[in-house]
Amino acid sequence: MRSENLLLRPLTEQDATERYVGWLNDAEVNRFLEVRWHHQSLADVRSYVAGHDNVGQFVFGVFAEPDELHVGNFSIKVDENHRSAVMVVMVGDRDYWGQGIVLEARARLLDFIFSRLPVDKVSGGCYQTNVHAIFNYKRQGWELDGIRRADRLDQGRRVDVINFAMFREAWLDRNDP
Amino acid sequence: MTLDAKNFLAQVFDVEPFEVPDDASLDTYQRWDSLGHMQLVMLLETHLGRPLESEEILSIIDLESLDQLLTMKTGSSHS
Repeated sequence: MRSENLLLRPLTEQDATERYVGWLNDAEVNRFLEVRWHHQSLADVRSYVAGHDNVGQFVFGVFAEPDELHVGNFSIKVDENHRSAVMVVMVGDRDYWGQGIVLEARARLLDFIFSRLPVDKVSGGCYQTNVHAIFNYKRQGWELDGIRRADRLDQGRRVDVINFAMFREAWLDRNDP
Repeated sequence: MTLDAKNFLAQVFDVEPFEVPDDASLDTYQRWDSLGHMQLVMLLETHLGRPLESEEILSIIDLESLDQLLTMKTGSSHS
């Protein structure tokens, strides 16, 4: 799949590089990721990629044009029984932070999910201290789906997890006013 | 709306207050990006002297909502 500035495709074992591993062990990149609790290795990343069947569990790499540089990932886990999905994002290459690629990539992925998968609701979430993520959810029109109080530790402080949701009708209405 | 809200945004986005449109919002003001939003929250936390609650962070969408947070600080200082 392509968007204006990005290629999005399922990751393969060949995408499990030292560069990717480096992101996961970078304290700034992993600040809001659960992988931060354990040092990550190439084997861990290969195992993670292999754990996605790209049928019900996807891990899409985000590749920036024009060189198709791998800069981050989106994982999507579908629950067919409940016609819902959970989406998680990581932008590993810090040079691409604040460049709008989360909004661009996620819009393309929402198009994909709601047109190709048995999903009516997509969920996402972030720590209350992840203001960049909050901004992106609000900018993209996700609705507040609840707050889990003092649910996580961030730099020694207990913080809320803010859940957001995008529903099929809301997304389609947004794209087709 | 107080001038404070415009001053806050102007400081974050490195423009003069008069350059901030009255209807500036997270959805419409081109300069209002995620980095600016982060700076805005940090500036607010410094101003208020405490971390913002989740609801407060979620409430910041435009000048009016920013003004409400600033007014709350002013109001509490007189109580």
